[in-house]
Amino acid sequence: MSRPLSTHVVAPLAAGIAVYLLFRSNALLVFRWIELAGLGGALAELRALAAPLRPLLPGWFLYSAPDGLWVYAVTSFMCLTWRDESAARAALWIAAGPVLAIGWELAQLLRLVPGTFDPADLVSCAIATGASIAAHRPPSLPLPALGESHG
Amino acid sequence: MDRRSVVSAAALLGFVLMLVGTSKPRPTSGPVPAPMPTAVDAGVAEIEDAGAAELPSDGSGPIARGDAGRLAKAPDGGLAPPVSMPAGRLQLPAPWDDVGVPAGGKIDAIRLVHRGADVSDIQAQYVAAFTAKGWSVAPGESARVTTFSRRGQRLVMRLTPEDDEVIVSLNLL
Repeated sequence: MSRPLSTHVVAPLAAGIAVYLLFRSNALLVFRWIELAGLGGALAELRALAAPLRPLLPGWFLYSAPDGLWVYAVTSFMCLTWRDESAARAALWIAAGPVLAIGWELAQLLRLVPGTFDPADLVSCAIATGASIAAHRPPSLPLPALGESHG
Repeated sequence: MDRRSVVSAAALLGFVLMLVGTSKPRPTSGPVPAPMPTAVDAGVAEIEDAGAAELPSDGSGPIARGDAGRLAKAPDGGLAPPVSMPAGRLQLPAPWDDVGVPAGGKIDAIRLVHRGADVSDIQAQYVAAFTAKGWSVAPGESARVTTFSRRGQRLVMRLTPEDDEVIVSLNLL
């Protein structure tokens, strides 16, 4: 696995998943899937181990950071995948993740999908998108030296 | 469709699955809060009494009724029951009634989860229920922490809104 992929995609993805699985309410749908997969017992043990940390974690970390981490991961993945593609085509793919995340959040506001709308999630997604694009921005072309003559 | 497009589409599909998976499932019959316990303080007293009733007066720990004779012959006079001795069980409401919590501990806090509930509604319901049972609210508490007092007792209620539920922690002091 390449270093950019592990740093910008796998690590934030894993961190977001860890926050959800270890500290968030087990009323979430993903816990049902985990039960169905027969991993409920193992996860319960991990949650019990992590439980003492929970009171130390701030609300924004528990409730908004995971979404931001995932948006960062998916945007970074697209940036890395489409970095040598034409700007227009790359932009479509790169924008897809943030658009989906923000659209999902707005759909929660309109009660079209289950979940709780939180403006902090929108902020988190926006920051993550900006950070990812900044991290993968192509290096600026070298500027011509001052006073250089073109004659 | 080239390989990159397929991989990207798969990544987006995975992302959508994560968004769905971390959503709260819809309640099957609308957002009905869990039933309000109508006799919370009575329940606490009942639980505490049940535990206390199992304790011997010398404070030597829980004693199962069937073991009374064996304890009388024990070399230590029964003051320190063996760990393997079958202990009495604490009487708890469902779904804890069949867990098998051993008697001997004193319950000083309980935690109730109200799924799909609004924190303000829950707070109002608890305050109304407690004041109806003679508890008075102590002034000057924070929005989510309320202290009640009654005849030398204090009850601290902490409300924690989380995702799609409200957690009520009650400490009896």
